[in-house]
Amino acid sequence: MKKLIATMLCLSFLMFVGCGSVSGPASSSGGTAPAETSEQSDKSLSGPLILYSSMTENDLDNLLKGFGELYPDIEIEVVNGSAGELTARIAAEAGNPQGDVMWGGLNSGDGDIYSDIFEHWVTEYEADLPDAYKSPNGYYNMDHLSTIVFCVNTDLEKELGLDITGYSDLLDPKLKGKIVLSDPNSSSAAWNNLANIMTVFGEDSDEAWDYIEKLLRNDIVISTSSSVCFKAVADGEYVVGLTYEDGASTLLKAGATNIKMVYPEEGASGFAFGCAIVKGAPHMEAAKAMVNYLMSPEGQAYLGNALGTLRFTNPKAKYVSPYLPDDSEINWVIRDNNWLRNNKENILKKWNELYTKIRG
Amino acid sequence: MMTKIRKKFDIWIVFTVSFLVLFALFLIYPMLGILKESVINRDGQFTVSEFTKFFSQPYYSKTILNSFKVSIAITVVTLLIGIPFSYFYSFYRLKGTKFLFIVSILCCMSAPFIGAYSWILLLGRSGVITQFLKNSIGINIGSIYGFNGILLVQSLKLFPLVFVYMNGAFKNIDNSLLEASANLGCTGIKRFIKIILGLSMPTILAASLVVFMRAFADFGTPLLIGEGYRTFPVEIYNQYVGEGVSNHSFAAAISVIAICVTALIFFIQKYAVSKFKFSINALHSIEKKEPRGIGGILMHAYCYILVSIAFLPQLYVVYLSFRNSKQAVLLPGFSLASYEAAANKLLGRSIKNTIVMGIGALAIIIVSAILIAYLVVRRSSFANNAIDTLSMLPYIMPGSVIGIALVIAFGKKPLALTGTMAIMIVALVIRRMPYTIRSAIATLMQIPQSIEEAGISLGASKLKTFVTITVPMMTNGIISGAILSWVTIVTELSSAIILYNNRNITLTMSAYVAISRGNYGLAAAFSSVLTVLTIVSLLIYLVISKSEDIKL
Amino acid sequence: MSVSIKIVNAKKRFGDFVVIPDLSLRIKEGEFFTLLGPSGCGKTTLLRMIAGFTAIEGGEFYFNDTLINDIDPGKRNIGMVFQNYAIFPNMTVRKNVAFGLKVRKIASNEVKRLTEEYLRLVHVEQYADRMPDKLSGGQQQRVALARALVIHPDVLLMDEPLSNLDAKLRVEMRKVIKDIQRNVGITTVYVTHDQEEAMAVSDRIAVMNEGVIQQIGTPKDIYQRPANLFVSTFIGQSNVLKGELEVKAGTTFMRIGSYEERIDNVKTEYMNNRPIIVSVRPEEFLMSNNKNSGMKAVVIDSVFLGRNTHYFLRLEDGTEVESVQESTIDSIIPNNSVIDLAINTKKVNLFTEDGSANILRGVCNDCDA
Repeated sequence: MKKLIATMLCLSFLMFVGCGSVSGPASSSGGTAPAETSEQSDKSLSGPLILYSSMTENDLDNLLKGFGELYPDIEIEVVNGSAGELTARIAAEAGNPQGDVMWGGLNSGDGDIYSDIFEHWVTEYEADLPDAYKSPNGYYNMDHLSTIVFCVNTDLEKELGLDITGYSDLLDPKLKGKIVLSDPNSSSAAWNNLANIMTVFGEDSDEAWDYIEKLLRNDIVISTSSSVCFKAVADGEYVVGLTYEDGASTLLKAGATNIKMVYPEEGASGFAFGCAIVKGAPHMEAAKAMVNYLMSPEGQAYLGNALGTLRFTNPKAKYVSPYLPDDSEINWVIRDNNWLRNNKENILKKWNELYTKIRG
Repeated sequence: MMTKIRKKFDIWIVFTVSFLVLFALFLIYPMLGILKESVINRDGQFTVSEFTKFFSQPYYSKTILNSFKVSIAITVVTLLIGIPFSYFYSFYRLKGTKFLFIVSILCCMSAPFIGAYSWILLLGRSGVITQFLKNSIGINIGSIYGFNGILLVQSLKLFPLVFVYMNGAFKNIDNSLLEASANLGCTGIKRFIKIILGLSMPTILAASLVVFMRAFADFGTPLLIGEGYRTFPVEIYNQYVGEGVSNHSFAAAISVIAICVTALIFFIQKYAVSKFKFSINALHSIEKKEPRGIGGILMHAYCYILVSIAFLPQLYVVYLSFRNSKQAVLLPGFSLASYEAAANKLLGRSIKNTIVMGIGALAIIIVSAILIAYLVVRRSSFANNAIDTLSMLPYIMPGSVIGIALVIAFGKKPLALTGTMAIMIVALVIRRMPYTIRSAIATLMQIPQSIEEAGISLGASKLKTFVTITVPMMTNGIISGAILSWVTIVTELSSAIILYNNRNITLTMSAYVAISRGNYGLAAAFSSVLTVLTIVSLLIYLVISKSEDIKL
Repeated sequence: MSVSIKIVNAKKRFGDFVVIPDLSLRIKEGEFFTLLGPSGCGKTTLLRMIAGFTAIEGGEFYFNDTLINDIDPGKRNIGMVFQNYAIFPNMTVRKNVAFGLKVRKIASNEVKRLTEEYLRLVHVEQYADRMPDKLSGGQQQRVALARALVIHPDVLLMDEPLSNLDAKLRVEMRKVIKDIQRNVGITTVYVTHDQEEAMAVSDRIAVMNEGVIQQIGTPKDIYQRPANLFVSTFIGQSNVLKGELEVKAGTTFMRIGSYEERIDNVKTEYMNNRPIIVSVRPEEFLMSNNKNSGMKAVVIDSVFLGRNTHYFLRLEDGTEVESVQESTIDSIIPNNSVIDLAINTKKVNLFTEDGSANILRGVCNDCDA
């Protein structure tokens, strides 16, 4: 009897340690020559690959398909979340890394805050990239661009008798409580939008903050999820969502007929977004293969064509994006990425203060 | 002449030591970790700046106020709708009481976000009911988000708590008290308010405090439906996620504040309940009256409508899961598309994890609760009383705080458990153990010590007596507690959201992820499986325990 | 094959409260020995010290010549019957009785045989496969008895086993217990607060009060020659009167008021003039109409109880007493009658003024230890 109880207790304890080590860093996936260049795809690379991503379903489905043609034996598992959630998770798991690659959400405005959790490794394609899209920190591989955009519900817009073309339209009292943005503290899409406002109205200028205050007073809704900013607009919950190209254009691709993408006439810009390898990734070879794929002309061409909703960084990649307007139709403004990087914390602090002041 | 008392080797001492070690490792160490993190800044210096930041910026400190406001409102509303429900149920012979009871309990035990998510689909800006009302009658019902939404969803979810508590109180009212009051000329509403409610005051108080605590600590509802109305538990999570990866000082500081606030509420609850304890034992129970006429019809209407509205979200979710969907857009017609999509999104693994981790956690909890109950009740000593007190610690740790504390404590080698099933199990055990321990202690206290002495006098060792005689006697009490714990474990959200990843993902987390990506069909599929699991568990429980007197 | 029990200078305290200051006693092999006393007198504590469930803080306990102080309860070879029976509710009657045998790893056919034998001994064989919650209190008590005896213990300890039963069943069960004990011949220590029960079953009784033994003796000794006032009033009923002892010319007299009787069996050391307490049992009063043969008393009330008639009387000095007489065919003495009340000097007991000692000869207090 005594032995039975004692054994049970021991087993319980062993279960902890056992579970810990069983799901700990698995041995690196079997593979021979690492696929460093686009010509060789090592089909013998196999095993799991854990991908942390904030990208849309559309993006991920196509990535898995494209990547899967080159590496059919790698089983990819996707963990969804916002940029903030995913980096928090990666940091929490730092002692026992579970994820291999993070795609999306990492943008040129981040600075160095994630230096500790990613492998300082970039692909060979760096040399091909234009200066603006080169890795800002030695561990981000900037593979795509994300430009901000308004996602507008055309049915509701017509009902309200509006024609939304830019920031000034958002201050219309008819839109009170009907505009949505996600939380800049945790969502890269929202930060992207804030950065654009700063760029268009002047970095940290009175005009910029004045505009933001007016937006807040027009009861702009702050949502916990960035996909709400386009999905819920299509559902009719809101009239305008401040979001990004990829999200809104994906809906158009899926056949939504009641929304349109509006690039603010005062100026539009975006961040370059990238992917990175988690420090100490359990499946390092597969991770490198994935990042290489995302940066390669072949990979970006495939994705560009398959998605039709995303712009990529490697100039050698050739593709067509039927759901995105032509470059010439947009009033591009240039961002001061350095300034944004250095002031992100301040901007967010001011945002929070303003929010509380107005919202109470 | 004094005889020396020789100390002999006692397996129970081994258990005492083991539990102290386990508690130190999994409770005290994480708590200290949080405390340390909250006052040591990035450069390793002691500072209370994080606390000042919280209290000086209304952006943050307002969240506590918001939580209090909405919790008080929820408490009032649940009393207003729950007490009449219980009154009709207890004093009148309604038709279908079994049905009313079961459905009420099912409403109360559903996963934390199903209500919110479902009501958004029904009453959101483009919700089904909203559209219907707007188009057909032209009524604009306003927003379900924010304060109103939280109030609606939580009141409908928590009123069964009031219902069950008040049933117990009403059952204990002696009929002769009612007859005496009628004799003295006090009947009807006046009697209801003065006598019946008066006698039940301790229970009303106890029920209100339980509802308040649940509402205050709720995470899932405000997360989804709160929109701009930020509550405290959600803020803890937001700060943890938003603040960067190398230090959790602010989240830790908020966690410490959360522990203090919860502890305060907890002690107020204990104090208030103890102050108002007086026992009434009904020699003659209330005789239920036949409901007659218009009054009778209204009574039935009230009860059935209330229960139907409360259960609607769960039904709607199941309906939704069978609707045709493609790429997260709902289309007319029915199909199993959502379930197929779910199967691709780790449905199998979610179910497996939910069950394996749930059973694992439950097994640990039950064994520990039985052993600890024995140590506390039969082997009272300083060390064992310490174990008893420590085991209550999780009462005052909100779920998100437990998640954060475990991340801080077990994020680094040599104890790197984050991202594993082990850490989820630890979180589940920590959250649920106090309830099972209290229930085990209460059960054991009812077993007379003479039973064990009889076994010992017949030559059986203390351990053998315990295992072959005492434990089987405790089984019934333990099992009913265990099943309720199971349901809570399976629907765990607030600590899971911090600790999960694709490896240890549960049904609840899969559903939540789908909801937050706006993929409603997929979310419905996961939620339906979860709902079915919950309902089946509860039905098993109700069959086994056969009583209408459950400790929620 | 039973044992004798010897307790020397036992002591027990709970915190600051001393329950048993210093207690010694001897119980003979095969004896039915009862610890009798009011609630809180320490009798259950002493029993549990013999059993081993309550720690021994001072003194030595022996079974025959073996010191048992440090021996585990499970190894003392005792059989214990509890007040609430303590039948294992999750086992059938048969399994309950067999429990102790199984623990001792007795061969299973032997277990079967012994179980059958003892089930029959206590007359519960027809319930052998029932669960305890289907049995009545009396039946459960018998199962408890069988369970305790089947393991052939050296000592049988019983802690108020009948107090949870109704009156009629109590009377029935105490005969069952007594018979079985005599049959099996086991040394039995029995605890009760019911003095009628104690007298019905015991070979010897130890009357206890506040942790101190007042008297040890047979039921007859204790009833007829109580060692002190406490015993006299605890056992049966006593009328307590104040009186005087007077020695006149070598003859000793007892005097209450003006009523005087000669007493011949006063102990020598007490033979001098002293105030005394006179303890008269109701049946020791003699009621008559003979003037000047006793104390004057007025009948206040009477109760006819069939065989006996109880009279309540008031003496001249206002003291109220009770007298029990065998009912006569004549009518009951009416209230307010004045009668003469005499005392049966053969049976009366006299105590020192403080009640601590019986001054008559023939008091047996542990006299045959």
